[in-house]
Amino acid sequence: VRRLALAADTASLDPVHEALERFWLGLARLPRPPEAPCDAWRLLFATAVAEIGANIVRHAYAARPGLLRLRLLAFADRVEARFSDCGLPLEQECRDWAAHGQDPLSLPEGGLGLALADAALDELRYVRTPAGVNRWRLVKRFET
Amino acid sequence: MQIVIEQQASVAVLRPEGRLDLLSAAQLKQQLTDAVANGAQRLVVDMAGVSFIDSSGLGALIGGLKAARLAGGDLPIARVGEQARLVLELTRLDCVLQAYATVEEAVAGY
Repeated sequence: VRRLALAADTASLDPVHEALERFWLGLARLPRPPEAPCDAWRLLFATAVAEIGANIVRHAYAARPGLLRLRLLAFADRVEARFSDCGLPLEQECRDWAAHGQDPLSLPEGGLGLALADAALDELRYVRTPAGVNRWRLVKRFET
Repeated sequence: MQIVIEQQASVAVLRPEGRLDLLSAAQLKQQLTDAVANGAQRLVVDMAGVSFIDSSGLGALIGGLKAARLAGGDLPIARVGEQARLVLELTRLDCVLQAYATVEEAVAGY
């Protein structure tokens, strides 16, 4: 498990990319490391994690100060990234990211990023808790 | 982000360096639209220096492509890395942005 909290108003995703690099190194050092996923698999997970991080900075906090929390977790069959933030809720029209048409040029701003993250993952979930926290769960399985 | 612009024959080649994400996408989009506004219709984006691209970066490329086509030109890309290739395929933008193995091929494609 790798935890990260960063100020979203820095608008820099360097810490997210660095956390991912350390996460991959940590995975390789496990006593029983998961079967090494290929570069493309890692790039897809990293792409999705960066997209959701960027979405939080850009839309949930809209460049205002705020805290973004990221946990990267490894399981026997999958890796997960869990984001939480206290920014604005995801707009309703953006929540059905998989249902946008086939034309990528028709997607609303921000919609392309969520569609991309969803396509790169096995599972992408978003909930807004009653306490006003946005939670994202990104899942990528070792074998699909 | 550093973006070098080089003129090859009648084609403007833009070479962004680093991560093309929410921080740098606006800069690339501005340079592409400026180039078109200044009369360049034939553009190529050399992607060899781009280590990572996200949807903002894709948006900049699409914005540049639309501006170039409105002006009667085009915006092919060249030397696309592994991550960018995956992202273009996932978003089906590989059908919209013509990709070449080398800058020379992209320039010759005009």
